[in-house]
This record gives sequence, structure tokens and C-alpha cells, in this order.
Amino acid sequence: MTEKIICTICPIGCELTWQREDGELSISGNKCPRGEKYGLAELTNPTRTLTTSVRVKGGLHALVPVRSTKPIPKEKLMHAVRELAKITLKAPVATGSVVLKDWQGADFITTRKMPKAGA
Amino acid sequence: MKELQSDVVIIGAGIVGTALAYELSHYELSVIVVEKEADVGWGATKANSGIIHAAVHDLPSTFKGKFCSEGNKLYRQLESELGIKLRKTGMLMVAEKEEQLGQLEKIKKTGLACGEKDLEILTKEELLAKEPALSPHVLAGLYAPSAATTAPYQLAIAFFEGAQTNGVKFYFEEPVRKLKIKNKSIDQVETTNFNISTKFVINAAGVKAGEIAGLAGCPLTIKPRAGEEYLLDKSYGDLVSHLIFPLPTLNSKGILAIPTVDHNLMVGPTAVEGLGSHATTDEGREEVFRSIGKLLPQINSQGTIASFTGVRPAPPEGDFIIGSTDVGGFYLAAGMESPGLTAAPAVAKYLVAKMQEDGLSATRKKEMKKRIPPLRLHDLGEGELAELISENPSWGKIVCRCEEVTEAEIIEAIRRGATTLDGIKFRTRLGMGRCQGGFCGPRVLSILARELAVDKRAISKKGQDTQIAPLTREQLLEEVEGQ
Amino acid sequence: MSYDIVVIGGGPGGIAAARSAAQKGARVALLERDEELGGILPQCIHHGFGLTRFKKELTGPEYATREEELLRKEKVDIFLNTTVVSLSSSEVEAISPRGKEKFETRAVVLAMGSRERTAPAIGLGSARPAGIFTAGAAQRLVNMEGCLPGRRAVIVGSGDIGLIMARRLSLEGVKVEAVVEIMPYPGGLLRNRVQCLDDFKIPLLLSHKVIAVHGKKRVEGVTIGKLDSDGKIVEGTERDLSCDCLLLSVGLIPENELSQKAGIKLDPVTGGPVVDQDFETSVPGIFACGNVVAISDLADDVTAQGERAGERAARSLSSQDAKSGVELKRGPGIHSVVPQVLTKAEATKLAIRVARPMEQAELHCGDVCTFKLKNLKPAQMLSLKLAKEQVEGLLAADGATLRLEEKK
Repeated sequence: MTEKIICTICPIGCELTWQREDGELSISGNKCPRGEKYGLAELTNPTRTLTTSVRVKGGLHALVPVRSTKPIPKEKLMHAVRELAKITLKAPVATGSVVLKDWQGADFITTRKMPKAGA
Repeated sequence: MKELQSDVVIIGAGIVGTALAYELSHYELSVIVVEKEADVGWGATKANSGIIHAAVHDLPSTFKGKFCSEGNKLYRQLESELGIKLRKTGMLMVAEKEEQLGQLEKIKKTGLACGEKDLEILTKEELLAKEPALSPHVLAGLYAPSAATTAPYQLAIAFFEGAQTNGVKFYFEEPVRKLKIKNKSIDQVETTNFNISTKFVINAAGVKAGEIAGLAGCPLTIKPRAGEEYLLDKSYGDLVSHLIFPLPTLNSKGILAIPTVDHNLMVGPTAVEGLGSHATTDEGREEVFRSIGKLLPQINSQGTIASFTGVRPAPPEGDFIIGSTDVGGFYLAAGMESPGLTAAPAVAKYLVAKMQEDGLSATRKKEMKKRIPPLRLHDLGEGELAELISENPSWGKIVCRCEEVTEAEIIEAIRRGATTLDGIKFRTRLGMGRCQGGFCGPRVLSILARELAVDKRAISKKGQDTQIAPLTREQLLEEVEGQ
Repeated sequence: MSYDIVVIGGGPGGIAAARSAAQKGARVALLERDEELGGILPQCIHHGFGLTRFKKELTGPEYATREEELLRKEKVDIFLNTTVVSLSSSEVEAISPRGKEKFETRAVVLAMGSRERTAPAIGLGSARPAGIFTAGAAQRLVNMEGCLPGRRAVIVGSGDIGLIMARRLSLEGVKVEAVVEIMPYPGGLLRNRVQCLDDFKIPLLLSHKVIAVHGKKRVEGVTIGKLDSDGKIVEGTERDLSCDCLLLSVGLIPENELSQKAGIKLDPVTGGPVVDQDFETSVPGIFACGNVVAISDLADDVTAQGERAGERAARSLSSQDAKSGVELKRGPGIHSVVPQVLTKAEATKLAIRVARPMEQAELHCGDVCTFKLKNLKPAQMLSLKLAKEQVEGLLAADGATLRLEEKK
């Protein structure tokens, strides 16, 4: 059983192929060892950093951007989005403040300060 | 359903409807204009070539010829009266082939018959001296100094503001649903929300005039004729200083080069019979640039910053349809394709006089309130801007970088009736520049929402069902969850 | 008001130029039209910024915050809500809520960034319904105004902005039907293709063109068709995609209005000023950096350009020798090169965009030097380091034509 993945660690973009033999996963096609690591992670537990925004009342803008402090499981991205959609902050908001703590192993923090409107 | 009463009802707030409204506002009359779009001039008027024509195309025995000639003259007065801008380019009608020279002579004769002054047939050398960008293969040309260019939507807005300032009531997004006749005369106009009792109705509904006439039991066929226009950026603004016309064909004045009042160059329009579509097409673009490229080889489509299609209301027999009908009190100002823009103020005067002959009792007002055009950054002198900013800092906040439109101008446009993004655009030129609103659009959304005290999601491009960003993630996430 | 250097534009390029010029002792004014610094960065809420500069994967706002912090450590006068309306190398005129202001200066750095290519500019016809956006304008609406343009989107163009918005819209609950790309190869960085399209199972339709946009009041759908190698629609491939919004990601153009007004010589391919190794334009005393010169892929590169332009502008204040330069011309395979002019014998980094993808190629700088290159893509700016001797050779040869020779 083979399937192709494109490695995104560097601009080369090696086409990785994976194989399962005797229950062992192996990666081929990588031009460097980082690719093997990437390929295995993509197969067993693909993760992504999530960047999105949460609503803020009384701020310079209507939304403040946030990010996950660590990559979270790829299949949980939309769940995280739903959780964050429930949150509304109140301006002023400092950069780096935690809006959602310890969710799937990561915190969600603001990535900029949001001053009050008209400040 | 709200019951209203009015001496006169005008159906349609395009150039003809607004010119009529302005003319009628000179009289002690109650006047209501009903318009199906959210703003004035959003039918053929805004997609028009913007030309005040020299009367050379039609004989003075026709409405087209007579009213073009009169209208051209009236606009010179209206320039200062309403504060509209005309660019007095004059027209060069250019012959490329020997066979066309006879036609050129004939057209000059028509112009003379209409009272055009200072018409001249120019030689090749004279033509090229006037317009060096013309292709050297041109043979001769007719010069008509009275032609001018303008922004057609600005004309409609000026007539509208002049009329409104002097008591005319405008109702937008109010399409006419029924025309009620009593004793073979018009009795009521029913729109979506209003039932207006009246004795005089003018059908100035443009492409829809046929449908409206049908509501009154007066059959009328108005055929749509689509035309695509292409606006080139300001680096082409000085390529030509005159309107450049080819010789006309049977159904069209041809594909022109139009130096606009805002110093862009516009080329077009095409003429596609029976086509009511408002979409621009690859074929249309090719035709425009191929055609104008023969006369002006330096033009190419790379400089295009905007393109749009207008649909002309073409009359069944070739001439405007102006006057009374079999239904008492029901008048037509229909089939006003080119030179409709030029003819509008003259048609307005003619029709109002006709209505008076037919019994409209109208006393002329002793005094009119003057329509003051809005201030624009571009028109301000050195000291003026500094003063304005010190009184009102929003004069110092430029929102549209490409056309240098300030927040103050946007707020004023909203005060004067703009409720949509396009309404701001046509009044201030915001979004008409190189980036076509890419930078300023989202910011104006906020300004409109704030000034109109509505949610950002309600702000539309051009009225109902055209909201720019009507959804939120909360809505969509809920919808997806519900599935 | 009198300064040594006026920097126009407070995005990553302008911020870096102002900072480095101030660090060299110049009196600097930074003029920004918006109400905050950052340029385009505040709306770029995705990560991927700062990889080379900070060795981190920052979001646009985080990158902007860091750069602003570094800037504010220097003595730079920052003027927000200030739009420049005209300029020369000795005077900059601007309008702001404070009034109309004239800034006297000894040098200017242009850092106004770029604008997006529009539908009419690519010949995309429509009845102008609601629902057609450039991707950047949609990005601003979604990320800063908090409202969404539709339920089902089609994205035209596979450049980075389009790919980023494909992911962004998907995360907001919008269904992205497809990304339609006229070239036979994708634009945008590889990582974006994977993380924005593959992750969300959004089809990338290469060699496809939007033939028609349907809808008079609001977008109702598009008709697309496949292109053959001559760029003509293959018969029978036309099909409709239903959507209520269309995002255009069809290229960025340097904001060159002020440059044109100032009489600066522009490169017809990049659309931005012709510059030399100092990032000085054809008008002595006017420098330019970042997307206003040529479109960069990474903010990190823009910062580097800004630093150099600011530093060189500051340097130029004390020594104004007339420069004579040699031209680097574009040959086969080369789309653009910055700087376009060499005026001094020093090691130089060239930013080159290739015209088409090539696995292996040789880049010839005239007859002076040759480089072996791999994995070239138009979407990824090639940074080529020329050694001092190589630049000396190019100066002596009175410039050179750069050409790419594909090797199989």
C-alpha cells in the first residue's frame, strides 16, 4: 500500500512515499533525514499550528488574531475553531494573552495587542 | 401599503427621470419619483459613454436631432446652475476610406441643419496636427466643437439633488407593480410599498419602459442593445484631447475614444442588438480594442482598469418616443438611447410644456434653491484644505488612495443620500482608480455602517441582495453543524 | 518640518529602513497612511513570518509587533494617518488630520508596498455583481472587520494570497470549491499548497481559466474551462462551478503612482523603480525597498532590503558622489532581477524571478560568471550571491544579460 506525501520542511518539496511492511512504517523519497521524520509524523499523527481570530468588543478592530502555542492534531482544527468562536474578549487586550488554555496540549494566545477603539 | 398623493409621478430616476424632476421642481407642484434601484442613474445612465453630443447624427425634424441640439446648449447653462463638470473636447469624426468622404459631408450638412456652429471638414494634415496619436492612414475628419464629455452619473446626481433640494420626493427600491386607470386616465401608481394617487405620470423607465407602458395598457416595445465600455488608466489620459469618432453605422455611432472629464481615456461602446446582458465579454473586449486600435494604434487592452456593460433602451422606430399616449395623463419619455443623455434637459422642458397644454396646472416658482455640488479634495486650493482640516479632521483622512478621496467626502456623500458602496463610488470616485476599491472597499464598509448606524453585514454594493460581507463564522459554523 | 530622511510607508520595509537610518545617526520621519504600523502584516494572521530573520514561525502581527518594538528603540518620528500626495528628493507633501504638511528632507525612502491586480486588468468580464473580491481585500474583511463574503467560494489564481485565503475561508466555515490556475504549474510556496489546499481537500485546477462569471446582483457561479498549450479553451471541457463569491489572487503590482509622479524610472516588468545596489532609484536621493520595488515572497527579505536602503540612504547624506552604473538585462528564462543596476564593486545579492519552473539550469551573467542552480520556480524568489570579483567583472564588462539555460 503506497501513498504520496509532499514534504514541506524545505523548498525542495521531496515526494515521499510510505510503505507498511510487517507492521513497520517506512518512508522513502526523502533527500534528508528531516523528511523521514516529517513523513512519519504526517502518517501517524499529523499536526498543524492553528492561526485564527477571536472577537473583541470595543477594540480598534473587530477581531484579534490568535495562534496555538504548539501544533495541534490536524483533525481537531475545526473543533478548535468552534471553541474559539465562542469567545469574545474586551479591549484593551495585551499581546500574548491566553484566550484558551491547555486545549489538546496547546494554549491559544493573542498575537498582537488590541487597544480600545479611538485610543 | 402607504397611501400617497402627488401632482406628478415620474417612473425612473435615470438621466431622463432626474432631468424631468429638476425641471418640474421649478413649479409649485408635488412631484414623486419612484425608482427600482437603490440610487439614481443605475440603469443605462451610469454605463453611458458620458458624451454631450454635437447634433450631427440626426435631422432636426427628429426628436433626436432637435433635442440633442437644444440639450447641448442647455448643459452650458446647467454647468454653473447645478455645478456639473463638462470637458469641452469637441469631436473629430474620422474617415479612413475614400467611400466615407461623401458620408462625412452629409453628416456635416445634418449638423448645419441642426444649428451646429463652426463645423469644419479637416484635411489629413489638419487632423494629425490636432491629434498626433491618430493613425497616419486617416483621410479626413469632421470637427464639431460643441461636443463635450462628462460623468453621466454625476449629471443624474446633480439633477436629483437639485430636484430634491426644491421639494421633489424620491423613493428608491420601489419598482412599479401596477398602474391603475380610471375613465381612460391614469389614477394611481402602485409600487412595492406605496399607492400613489396622481393625474400625471411620466414613464422614464429606460430599458423597462416597455413593461411599464404595458401596465398602463399601452403596448410599447423597447429593445435592449448592450454596449461594453473599457476604461483605461490615467497614463492614457493625454493621448487624445478630442472625442474621436469613426463614421457611424446603421445602429451605432461606432467605437469611440472618449477623453473623460476625470482624465482617463475610455473606449467603446460595442452595440449588440437584443442583448440585455450586463456582462462584459472576451468578444466585446476584442472588438473594442481592434476597432479603436485602427484609429489610435497606441491603445491596447493592457491599460484597462475597469470595464462595464450598459444596456441602451432602443426605440422600435429609431427615434425617441416622447409625448402623450392613449391613456390620459400618461406620458412617455422612452427609447432614449443615444443622444439621450444630451437630450434629457430639452426633453424635460418639452414634456412639461406639453403636460401644461394638456391641463397640468403649474405656477413657476419665483425662487429656486441652488444645488451646491459637494466639495472635493481635488478642487480645493492650498489654504482651503488646511482650513477645512482644522475645522473637520476627517478632511485629512484619505481613504481612497488612488483617487484621493477623504473621509469627509464619504460622510458628505452619505448625507446626500448614498447608502451603498456604489453610491459612494459614483458620488466621490472612490474605488474608480487603479486598485478598483481593493484597498479602500473594506474600510468604507465600516464608515457606511457607522454613519448609517447599521451592522457591517447589512452594507451592500448596490442595494437589496448585494450585501458585501453578509455572513459571520458563527452563522456558518452553526449551519454546518446543523447538517 | 525638516528631516534627513523621510520614509514613506510603515510596513516591514519602511519600518526597517527607518530603524537602520536612525541607527546610522540620521534624523528620520516615517509616514504611514493607516492608523497603525505594520502595512499588510496586521491582516496576515497566519504563521510563516520570521523564519530567516528570527528563526521562528511567527504570524504577521507578531512579526510586525517585534519590528515595531525594535523601531521604537530608535529616535524616529512616526506620523500615522498621513498620506503622501507628492514628493521629490528634497520635499514630501502629505495630508493628515493635522493638516497639509510639507516635510523638508535630504533623502527619501519609498516603501509603499503593492496593490492587487484586479478583474478588469486580467480581462475577467462580469455584470459586476456583489461577491467579487481581490484576495487581500477579502482577507481584510474576514480577519479585521469580522464578516464573511459568502458561503461557497472559488479562488482565481494559486498565488500565496489565494492559497492562504483558501485555508482561512475553510477555517471560517466557507466551502472553497476550487482554486483555478491558468498556468500548468502552481504559484505560491509549496508549504502553502499542502497546508492550505491538501489539508482541506480543495482541488487545484491547473491549466484552467474562468471563462464567465454569472450573476447580476450577486455572484451565482462561474464557468471554467481547461486550456491547451496555446492558451485556448479545450472544447468540451467547459463546466460550471456554483459559488457566491469569487476571490482573485492574480498578482501584486508595486504602488507606483508616487514614483511616477516623481519622475523615477520604472522597470516595465516589475512595475517598480529601477534600483542599484544601494536601492537608490534613478532620482538621486530617492531610495526604494520592499514590494514597491518588486514583489518579495517573504517579509524577512523585505526587512533586509529596508535595512539596506535605510543604511545606504543615511550613508548618502555624507558622501554624494555621482554614480555611474551598468545594467543587468533580462535574457531568456529571467522574469525580473533586482537590483537592475550595478554601481559599485562589492558583494551583491541579486533577487531573481525565473520565468518558468526548471529542475536544473545554468544561470549565465553575460560571459562573466555562471551558476549551477536546481529546483527553480517562479513562485520562489531566487537569491543569488555575487562575490565582489564577479561584480567587478560585470562592471568592467559594462553590464550583462542574465540568461537561464535549462539542463536536462
